[in-house]
Amino acid sequence: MRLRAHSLQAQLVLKLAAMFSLAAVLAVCAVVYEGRQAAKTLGDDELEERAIQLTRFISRGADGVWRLELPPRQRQLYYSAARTRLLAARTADGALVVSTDAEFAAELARWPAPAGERRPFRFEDFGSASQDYNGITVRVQSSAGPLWVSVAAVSDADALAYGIMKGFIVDVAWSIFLFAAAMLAVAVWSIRRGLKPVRAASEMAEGIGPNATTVRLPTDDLPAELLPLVAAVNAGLDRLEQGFAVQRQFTANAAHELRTPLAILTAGLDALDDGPEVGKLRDDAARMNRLVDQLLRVARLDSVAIDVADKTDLRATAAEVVEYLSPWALAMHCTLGFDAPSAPVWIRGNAPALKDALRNLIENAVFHTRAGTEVTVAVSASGTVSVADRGPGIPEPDVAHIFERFWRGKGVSRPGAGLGLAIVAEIVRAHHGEIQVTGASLGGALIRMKLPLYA
Amino acid sequence: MRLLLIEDEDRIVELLKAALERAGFAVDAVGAAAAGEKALASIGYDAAILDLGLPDGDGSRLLTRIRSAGNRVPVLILTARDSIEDRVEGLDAGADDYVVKPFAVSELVSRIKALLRRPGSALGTLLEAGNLVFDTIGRDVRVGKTPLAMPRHELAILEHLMRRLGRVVPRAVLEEKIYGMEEELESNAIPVHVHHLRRKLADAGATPVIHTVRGIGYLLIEKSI
Repeated sequence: MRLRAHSLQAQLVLKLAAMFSLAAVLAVCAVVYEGRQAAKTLGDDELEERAIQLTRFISRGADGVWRLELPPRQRQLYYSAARTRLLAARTADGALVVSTDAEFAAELARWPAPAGERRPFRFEDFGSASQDYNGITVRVQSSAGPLWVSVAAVSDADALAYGIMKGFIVDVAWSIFLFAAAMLAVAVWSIRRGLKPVRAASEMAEGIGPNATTVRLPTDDLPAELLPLVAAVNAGLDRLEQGFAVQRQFTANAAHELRTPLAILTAGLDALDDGPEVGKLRDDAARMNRLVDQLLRVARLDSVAIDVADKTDLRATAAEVVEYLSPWALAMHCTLGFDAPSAPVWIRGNAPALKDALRNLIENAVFHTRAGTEVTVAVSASGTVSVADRGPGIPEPDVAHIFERFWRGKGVSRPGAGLGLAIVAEIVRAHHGEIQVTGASLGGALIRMKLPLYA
Repeated sequence: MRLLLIEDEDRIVELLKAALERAGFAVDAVGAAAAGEKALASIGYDAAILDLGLPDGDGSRLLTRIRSAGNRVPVLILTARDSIEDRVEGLDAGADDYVVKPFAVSELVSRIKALLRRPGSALGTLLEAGNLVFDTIGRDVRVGKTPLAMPRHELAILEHLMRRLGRVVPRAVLEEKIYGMEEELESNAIPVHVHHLRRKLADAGATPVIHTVRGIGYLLIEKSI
């Protein structure tokens, strides 16, 4: 799906994603801070415990000399070249009794006399190895009286906190993102589901046009927030439909009212003696008759939804039209020919409407074919009916326009108002059929209507 | 031959009356359904021309009433309405034919003649087309004054074409007409008969011409085009 600035879905996803990222970062920061604190507390407790344990190895001989006798493993730790651990002990007056490191001893010597039970300290960039140390001074009761034992270890609080953070990210943080993803999925799903009726309504709206004014957008299942909009659109469509109905009624009435005076005019011209001017006037009246006739047909086609579901024999329907128009075609100095399979061709369609369409196609072909030639109407078993003439054909650029209402070819002087083929196109569309314009094999134009077979 | 014209539009009455009188008919005209019904009840018209949109009622109701009263006069409906429903309604009411306004007067006259040519109608025994005359009782054909002899299946075809003058007669209909006259009907029997008929008419100087509508049938037209 395309993400646009105005898409609710995109906005929600973006905002939720931002919120979840922020929450995840905050959570990680909190965990790191807590981790550091915990590590520090844990470190202090551990150092205190260590000091107490190490006191066991401090003793005062009978000679009054303090000794530190560490077991081998501890010795390795406290006298290592890396100087990871420091140990020193002082008496209450601040006198140093034992020490594992000269620099540590020197530092302690500068301190005031020890006091209190427990005091943490911290060295930064300490000693020749320039290391950070955490330490603690604890009052311990040794076998030879109270001692303030100072223990320090190279600071590994960061490492511990880092370890905790890593553990947190590995064990917990990914679940935040999983949770976030799940929330996003739910949000997207809800939106898509909520907007599904909107899409359905949009599809219906696609079909609304001058020929389908009765369509209304469905209000079922629509989110309540969108109901007022859809209701307002539907109300607007109601008003448009009324407007169209009035206009169509007007077209129908106007065409209808024109018929009587036209009948009088036609009859009056028929009654006159033949002459060149009378002939022209008769042609003019005939052209006007055709126009009024076609306007009525268009108005009817617009106002009544034709039922195209009937089982209809295309062969018989076409034959009837050819039969009906043959005398007129002869009067127009051409003939009609009919090619059809020997069996009926059953299609799904409305016979009167199809007759209207075919009649328009044949009339059009008769107007364009050369005098003395045949206009061929052919029905095929696959549900097509075509009309071919032997006229000049339809210029390529015009093909796209010939089915438009009131369109007429340039420099073409012939009766009609350019409605005939528009009517054909609308009837074929109502049948869900296809219309195709090609060149006929003998020159001229061939227009073919394809209609759905009755299965 | 007396016709009744029931039409309220004065100019149409005037023009139609003149045209029909030129064609040799006597025409009475009334402008309302009530007057038309009265006239049809009192005088035995040979045919009636009825406008559907009359000031005092619908013409198709008038038609239904006279038909239920047993009047079989041939009726041609004249109307500005041309939807399929309107046509069906008019024909259901008992009309014999239907002409939509605006119409060519010559077409209306030939439709009236066709109604009168139907079996049992006024012109039923004598069929005419240009200088061609067909006597359906005596079964003989004349071009002008000259009799024209032809075999009976050609006569049958010509009779049918003349009854449907100016309109297409499907080949299948002609095949039905001569079916039973010949022991075996060859697939090209009709084209062969029509070919002979055409030549005979041309040789005798008849003005009507038989046209072929390829794939459908034939039609006879009064004068060659």
